[in-house]
Amino acid sequence: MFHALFETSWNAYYRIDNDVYETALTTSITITEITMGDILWAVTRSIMTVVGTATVAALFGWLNHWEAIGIIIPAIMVGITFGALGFLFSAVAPHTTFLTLVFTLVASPMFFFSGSFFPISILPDWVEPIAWFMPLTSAVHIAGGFALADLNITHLWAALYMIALTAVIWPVAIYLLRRRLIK
Amino acid sequence: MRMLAGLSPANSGAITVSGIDVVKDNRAVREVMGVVTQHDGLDGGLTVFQNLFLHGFLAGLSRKDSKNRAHAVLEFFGLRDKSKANVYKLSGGMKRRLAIAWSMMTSPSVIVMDEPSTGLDPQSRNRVWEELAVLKDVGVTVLLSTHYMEEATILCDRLSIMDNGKILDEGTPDQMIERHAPKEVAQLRVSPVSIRTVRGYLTEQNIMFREVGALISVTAVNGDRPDLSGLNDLEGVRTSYRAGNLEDVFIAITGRELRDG
Repeated sequence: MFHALFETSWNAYYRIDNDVYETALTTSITITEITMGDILWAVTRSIMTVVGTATVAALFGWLNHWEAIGIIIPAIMVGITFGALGFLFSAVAPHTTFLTLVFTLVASPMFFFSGSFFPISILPDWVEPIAWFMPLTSAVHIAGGFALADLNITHLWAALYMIALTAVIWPVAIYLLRRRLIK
Repeated sequence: MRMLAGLSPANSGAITVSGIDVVKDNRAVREVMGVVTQHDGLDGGLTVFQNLFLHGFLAGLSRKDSKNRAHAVLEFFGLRDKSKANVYKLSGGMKRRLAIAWSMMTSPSVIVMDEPSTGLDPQSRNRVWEELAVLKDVGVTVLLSTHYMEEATILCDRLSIMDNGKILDEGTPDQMIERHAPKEVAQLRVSPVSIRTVRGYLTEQNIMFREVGALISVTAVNGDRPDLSGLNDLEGVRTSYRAGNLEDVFIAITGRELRDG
């Protein structure tokens, strides 16, 4: 999540601020294609991180099912969802301090309460629904399903939630980016 | 200019480039047109070659074509020895030249440039001008905006003077000079001790003048050499004469900074 989010928030902000996107738009590509390109790179970074972590886990013998290969799927989904989310922030960020806040107030708490470190079932009752609302929780849930070779219908719901969220975030990000670049 | 490149929305009117409607078919226009924006917009994380290659690739060239074209463009702009240099390490002049080189990646028939030599030292500016002249020679149409009248004089076959978004007049540099500028302008470089006396004299003689720093430009009303005989004995005044130029045209047309003595 961090790698994907970083690529399309900090790095994209750099490209907005230094007119790299503006210059790219003077070729025949469009803003939608720019977001596609950078989200694809966010997916790549996400896969690299997940494969790296999973390889270490496998070496320690924590991943011993062939199903664990499926972890690549939530990695791709995280890359797309958080890549789109990052654009949402870079498109509206007035300065880099804003992006620091995104990482402090959005990304870090999400990382903490998503079930990455401890199961969200141990959270207070009122926090659990909020945790499920965060897209990373769904991704962790799906990854957990593949890692433990224990997949059920809830993993499908989690995947659909992430897809639905991306279907909203991405077009909004494109709209905001267009508003920022075409002026 | 931003509208031409599709970087600003068009509110009204129509623009066509090489017969293509800019508003309706912006992608097609961008395929035949190179654009150099006011800011270089180069990717600081990439090398000179990678920047060119990426631009070609984004513009729809195949990897092989983009690579070959990048080499050819580097050769044309004399940047081959810089091909592996990181862009953020380049000087302002070098970046500007690279931005122009970048707009040439697709062999465009039209290049639009927003203030191509702003902020450059004289050597780099001359180099940019030489390169633009060569582009013109090979048949590329160059549309540029500039605040430097010298640049307009050297590069433009046809120019429009704009103020507050309106075209005030257009023609060749020579036509414009003939139409709006005096034949000759006296330039007085005046030391601070004499400046009040000079101002007083010019005002008294009803001579039109324009003062910028220590330099006073004087134009006689009928356009001939003004009578400055009264200043001959004054200390700290150096007088020289030059022909009227586009700078005079610009000031005459836009009416800025003009002082009627």
